Amino acid sequence: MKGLISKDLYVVFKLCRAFILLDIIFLAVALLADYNPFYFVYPCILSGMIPITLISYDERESWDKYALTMPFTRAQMVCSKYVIGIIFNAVTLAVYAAALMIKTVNGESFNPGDYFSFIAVLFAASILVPTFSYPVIFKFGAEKGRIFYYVVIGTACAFSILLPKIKLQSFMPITSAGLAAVVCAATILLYTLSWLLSIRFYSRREF
Amino acid sequence: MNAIEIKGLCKRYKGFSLDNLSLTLPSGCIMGLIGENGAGKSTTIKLILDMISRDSGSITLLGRDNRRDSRLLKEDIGVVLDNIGIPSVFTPKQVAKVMSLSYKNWDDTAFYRYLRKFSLPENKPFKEFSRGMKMKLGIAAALSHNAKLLLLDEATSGLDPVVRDEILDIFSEFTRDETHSILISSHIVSDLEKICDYIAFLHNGKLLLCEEKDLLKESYAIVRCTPEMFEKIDRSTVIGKKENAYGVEVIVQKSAVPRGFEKHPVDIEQLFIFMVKESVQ
Repeated sequence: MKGLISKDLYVVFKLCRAFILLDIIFLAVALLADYNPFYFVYPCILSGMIPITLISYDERESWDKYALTMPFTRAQMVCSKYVIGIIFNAVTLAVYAAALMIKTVNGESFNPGDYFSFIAVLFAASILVPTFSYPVIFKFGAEKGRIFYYVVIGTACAFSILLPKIKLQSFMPITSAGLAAVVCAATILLYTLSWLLSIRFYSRREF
Repeated sequence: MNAIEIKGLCKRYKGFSLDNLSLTLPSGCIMGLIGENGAGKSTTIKLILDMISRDSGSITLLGRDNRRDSRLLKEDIGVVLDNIGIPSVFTPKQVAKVMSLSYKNWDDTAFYRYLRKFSLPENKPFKEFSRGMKMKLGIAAALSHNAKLLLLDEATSGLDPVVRDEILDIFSEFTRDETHSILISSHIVSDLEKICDYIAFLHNGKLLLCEEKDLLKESYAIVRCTPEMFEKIDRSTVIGKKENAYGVEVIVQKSAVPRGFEKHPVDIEQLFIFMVKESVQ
């Protein structure tokens, strides 16, 4: 699988520079402008798009077929995309968690409970778009899966805009830390299920 | 040991079926899979590589089941597909790095030797290569992990005659080692005639014949005669017949040609066209 991941990393650094540039712009805006969760959530959603872009690129270049002639299992091919997703999500999340820390400490409004529950939201935002999109894309291909992917992206963006207006604790008796734990656990569970489903779909796909 | 053994292979699609295909490629030989577009050549190669699922039949490669030992087998198989599949942003150097992490037996020295032999630049992106250069890079990669079996799907199509000839020489050189074999599909029959030991004809998903090339050429002849003379030939020995203003052109079993008829040698392309287009069956 090292071969697959190294190939994806080469391609990301050649083709996905726009994603990295956008992340840097959003980071600057998030730090300099008035606090708005959108500036934090959107780059995290964007980082989840990298593996989907890679799948689309693989199909266009016929790498998906070429890789099947190499000593990889189909499960490894799926796993490589999930691992790439985790790498970029983790880096983005770490950067924005640090940015949020700087922002809130500077604004003297730092509250650990709120901070960690928002990090949990960022974590969910970066993971959930690929979580729902991957199985569809692995089953039908990037072209056909693209429509579903836009629906998921639209929903996620709407959620990030509505987020400041939602006072979850007002109708759910849960602490901020508890909420963060629930969100993280649910996200990890969904991501794992998505991973297994994608392997199942891809193993049956015909090329 | 046989490099490829296919028995009773079937794959059904809407509007096309690969029907009960059986063929054997002995080690150390080159087999040419000939057929018109849509005859089933790529389907056969995809089934061999387990890229699509078969409906029935069995495939053994280098003595192993192609599905059970898929990953192990692919270490020993070099593949060149029509679209090659190397990412367009990759340079040959990056191809070598990725391949060295993918194949246990990757041989960097061999790869760079092929790059020099093919005059391929190490640092130029794949997207800037000509079709011939792209194909050569695909072939260099396929030949640089000590593969025992090469599967080539239309690997010479779209190339100019000089490059094709160069590539065919490399394939012939590869099978000098008796443990090396090649299955090559093409609709450029003249290419296959140059290098193949065995010829398999596919038409509409059916195997019309699979035979040693030399035996085929020895067994059949072209006879040009009048319609009256044609009546003297045993119909069961006729492969195909073409009538024109000058008379009748027939491909027939050499041994069945009556005395007094002039026999001309047949090439594989003529044999294939007569079997497909001018069949009397």
